[in-house]
Amino acid sequence: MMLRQIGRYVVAPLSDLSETIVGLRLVDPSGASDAWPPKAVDAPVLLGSLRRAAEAIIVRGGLADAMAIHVALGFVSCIFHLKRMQQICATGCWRRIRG
Amino acid sequence: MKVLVAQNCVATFGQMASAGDRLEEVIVPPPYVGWAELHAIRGPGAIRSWIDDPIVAFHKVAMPKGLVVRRSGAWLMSPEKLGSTRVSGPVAAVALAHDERQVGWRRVLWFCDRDGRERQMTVPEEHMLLYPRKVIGRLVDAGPRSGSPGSGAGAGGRARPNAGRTQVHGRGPWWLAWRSLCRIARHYWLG
Repeated sequence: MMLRQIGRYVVAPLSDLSETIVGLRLVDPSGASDAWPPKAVDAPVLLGSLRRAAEAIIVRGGLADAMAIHVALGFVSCIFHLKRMQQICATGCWRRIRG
Repeated sequence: MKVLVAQNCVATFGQMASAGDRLEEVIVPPPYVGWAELHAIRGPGAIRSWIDDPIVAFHKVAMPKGLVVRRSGAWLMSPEKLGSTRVSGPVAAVALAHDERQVGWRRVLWFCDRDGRERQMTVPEEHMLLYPRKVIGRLVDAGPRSGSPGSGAGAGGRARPNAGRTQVHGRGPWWLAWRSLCRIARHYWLG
């Protein structure tokens, strides 16, 4: 899943829809998160592959929620974790995934 | 590709729908817990259950505390044990309607019929308050689905022995809950 723990932070890659890593999301033990670089804040954390999945799930909530769904579905679905619901529209995720 | 939006409650869906719209692509976990907590408490099977048998969500429609309407039916949730009891087929009040003179208020009911089709019917508020048995009769005539709970019991739910029948009572907690099912922002014109 490409998650790493560095010190007290969990680091997750932020990707665009071509699955290119465009930044990192840092989550501290309290659940607060930040993005680097700051302009990547709207990019989703992508779990799984958009090309191979038959189902894509956009998760609004904590990164733990996204991971729980990804694990429960057997790692076969493509999970987008977004910090804010508005990002679905802002990043064009919804339109681009639906085609 | 099938696309779903997972979030922790229906009320926060934002601007992607109008009040009263059915949110077919939204999946939410049971009340009182989030996806991660559900996974920690009940395991991956419970998450799968709430995705395969999702909550029927309507934008800006708030269900009473403890009542959840899923594709498999209406369930009363127990916050202590995260268990649930099926009380009827899938039915919910999703809107209020009135005529051109802003009188003749009616409640819009959503349900699945026995052919599996989603349907709506309106019921006068007068009947909701004074003649609940008429409402029940009309609803029964409309043929709401009342099949087996199916996967709905997957989250720890325990179906009642007679859960195969839609149960809408004139008295008791289910009827009281149903009468106060929702407060929503959507009114629309009849006619």
